[in-house]
Amino acid sequence: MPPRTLFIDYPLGQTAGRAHHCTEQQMILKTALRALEEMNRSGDIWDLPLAWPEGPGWKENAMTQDDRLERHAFPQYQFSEDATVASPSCPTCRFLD
Amino acid sequence: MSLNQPVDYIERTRTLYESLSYPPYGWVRSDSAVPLAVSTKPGKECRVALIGSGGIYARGQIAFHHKDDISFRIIDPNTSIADLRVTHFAYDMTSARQDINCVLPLEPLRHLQTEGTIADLTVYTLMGGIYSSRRVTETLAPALTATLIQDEVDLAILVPV
Repeated sequence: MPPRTLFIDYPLGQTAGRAHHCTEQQMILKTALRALEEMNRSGDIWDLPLAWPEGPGWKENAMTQDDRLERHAFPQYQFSEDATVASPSCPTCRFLD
Repeated sequence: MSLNQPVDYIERTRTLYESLSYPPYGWVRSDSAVPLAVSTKPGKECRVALIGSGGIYARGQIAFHHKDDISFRIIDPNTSIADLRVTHFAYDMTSARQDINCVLPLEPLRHLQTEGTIADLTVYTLMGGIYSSRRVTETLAPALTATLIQDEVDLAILVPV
């Protein structure tokens, strides 16, 4: 656990706010910076006052089946074109194996 | 379960693994409190590190793989949003692919930098979904920490998925 944590009760995949909701994303990041100054006990969690707008029904099925994709040990590009423009030496990649 | 409560992902994972006849998931447990570092500078003088574990890479970089990838990427904070990609095996990427800020809040932080709330920004991404806590603890975390120290960051915002 990190020393200071914010919690948002949203489905996985929108940790920092909903897509294209700039005001919400901004509020979350501002709160994170405020947490740095105001949270003074390790392990504390702030529960942000945000609720998933379509209601809590998504919780019924969260992590109730194995939706994971097959795991391959070679690069998984979002677009095949990315593979063709990737720098083979990739100076900003840090491989640690 | 009350839908007003957060999802108990630990319990759900136990149940799911059992139903799939997998061995129980080996949760990492830490019995010591994490040290709380107190910032000595005001935010407006801080260099902020944004660290996202959602499998994000920039066009031109080698993408992550999905089998215990313990590498990380250094992302130029001025990268065009249109050049950021996301690849992962364990979460629904629909929102992230519509707006990468859902899992890597780069634009909100750029905005905070423009308005002077923070001084500077550095960005790092990793894969997550690494089923070896030993490799994370012994290899990835120390390497990333060394980079943060070298880059003289004052505080880090971690965005898991």
